[in-house]
Amino acid sequence: MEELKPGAAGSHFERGSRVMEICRLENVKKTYEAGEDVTPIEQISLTVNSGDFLCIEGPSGIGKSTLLYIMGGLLDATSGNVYIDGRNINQMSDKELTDTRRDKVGFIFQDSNLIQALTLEENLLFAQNLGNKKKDYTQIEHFLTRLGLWERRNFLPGEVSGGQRRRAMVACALIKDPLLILADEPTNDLDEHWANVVLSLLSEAVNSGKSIVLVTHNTHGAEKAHLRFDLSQGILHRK
Amino acid sequence: MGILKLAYLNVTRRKSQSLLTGIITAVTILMFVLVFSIFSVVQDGLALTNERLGADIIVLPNSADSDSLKTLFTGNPENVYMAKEIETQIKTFEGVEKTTPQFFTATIPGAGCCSFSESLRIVGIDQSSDFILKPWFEKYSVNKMADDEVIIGGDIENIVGNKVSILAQPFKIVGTLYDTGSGMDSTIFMNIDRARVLASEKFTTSSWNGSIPQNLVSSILIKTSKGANVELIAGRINSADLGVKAVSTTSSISSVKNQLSSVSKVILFLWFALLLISILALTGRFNSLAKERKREIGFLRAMGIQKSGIFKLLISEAWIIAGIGGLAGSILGVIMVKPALAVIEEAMVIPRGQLTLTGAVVSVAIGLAASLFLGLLAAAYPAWKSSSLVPQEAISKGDLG
Repeated sequence: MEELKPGAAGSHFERGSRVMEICRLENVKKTYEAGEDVTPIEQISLTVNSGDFLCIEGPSGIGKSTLLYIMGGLLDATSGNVYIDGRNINQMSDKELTDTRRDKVGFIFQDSNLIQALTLEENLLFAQNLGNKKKDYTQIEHFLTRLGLWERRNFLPGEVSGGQRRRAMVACALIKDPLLILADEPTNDLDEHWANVVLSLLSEAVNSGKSIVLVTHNTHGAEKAHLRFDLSQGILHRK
Repeated sequence: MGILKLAYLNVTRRKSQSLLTGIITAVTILMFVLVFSIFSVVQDGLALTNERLGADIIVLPNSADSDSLKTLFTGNPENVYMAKEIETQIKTFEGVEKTTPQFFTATIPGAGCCSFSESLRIVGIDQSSDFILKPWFEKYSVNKMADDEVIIGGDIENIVGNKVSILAQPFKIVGTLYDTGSGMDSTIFMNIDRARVLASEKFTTSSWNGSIPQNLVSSILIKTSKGANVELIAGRINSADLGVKAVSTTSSISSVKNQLSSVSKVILFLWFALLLISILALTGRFNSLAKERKREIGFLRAMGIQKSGIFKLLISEAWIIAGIGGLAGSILGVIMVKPALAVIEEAMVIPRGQLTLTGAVVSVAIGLAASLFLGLLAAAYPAWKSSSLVPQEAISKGDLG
């Protein structure tokens, strides 16, 4: 199958900037047992460069999240290779892979995931401090304000709405300042206004050289992407 | 924000989950500290009794109801007497090195005098032959007690030089004893002749069975020669038809030791059963807490927290909960020692004793260490299991969409 190279195809960021390979999938296949063998990922090769904003679309349950998990080193591929920042994660120890996730990957999960005992502000602080990064309260304030969470900054995740939790998750992923942001339905639970704010923040991250892979089962947000793919029968089809 | 702070916040902000776990730990440690402290106190009391009893044999009138154990441990003799000449006869037995008589006058209420104790005993000693009290003198200002002078036990709150009124007679305190953990601590000792005079003034002549207090003693304490067979000597005195009963103190103490040993085995078994149940309950508790937080643990792993970090987080949380529960349980356990001892003393004859400050601190420290060990034991497997979770499975609960 032809390897898809979005960066090479021309992203917003590459104009006037040095393009770097951030993530590469090489003939990745994923099969798992669920009563019978299921193969959500048949054979995918894909390169994500700095400044790429990719959108992978497809109906629910088709394997989009699985693909994101494999790209981010949360799930092993059955076969094929995954490279993050030039290193094959199949050859990394668990410790190295965890450090890679910490330093280079930011996740926005489909379901709200935050640390329940920390306030929204503390969640951001925790994410920012990972890897002994210096505390920069200006950034925390910036994200809380942009995402309409400033008034709720001292609330625990269980005390705010689903939409507010999702916005906080977006902030957590962005504040880590990763090379690659993997966003699984990031605008779920959000009204149009906040969905647009989230997509704007993601676009801003792309403009500053980050790479984003967004998966969605609807077209919301897809129009912001430089490249759009359909996932069907385990293969990516460029739209 | 580090792992330890996160652990602390996880414990303090999930109050209901932490509270139940803390209570289980606290109850287990309370029982442990209580049992441990009581046995320490009783063992110390036994050791003290053993040590302080320069006497190897105690001789009481045949008609005395109180057994030798009570006399040994609680200093609770009755107004039952024997002729003082019996001491002279006893001295002739082979193997008897020293003897000294004591005369029990009365029990008086402590509050009326000068003590925290509920009641005080007045006992007369023969200073010329006494070998029981001398090793326990803490402060002693005279060579020989005058008739209006007394020595007080360690439990009696007063100071040397003070004057007190005993049975309406003025006395001067000339000495105090170290705490012995026995009935001596709440006893007022005076010259044996003066004790007899007080008794004759307090009680009617019918109490003396046709004799007079000056010719009577309550007990005779015997020190045997080195290497002598104490049981044999006691047996010979008992067979001599003197109207007395001689009891070997070592056999009394060893009988209490045996009694305590049997009780301690039962209690130890029950405590181990409780410990096992607590470990299982806490393991189940930590397991279900970890399961409840499976998604969060997956999220932490996805964010870049190492397996060791997750293990450290969960163990730290267990330690914080177990530590707080253990500390509370230990303190409560120490507080409950005194009332528990009182209940036990009613049920069985044991040496009197009390938990010292050092003993209390040691008990709390041991309780705390035990709670941390308990926490580690109970949380190790759930923590290891949680840290080994595949992040994706933890996050999506196995659902691959």
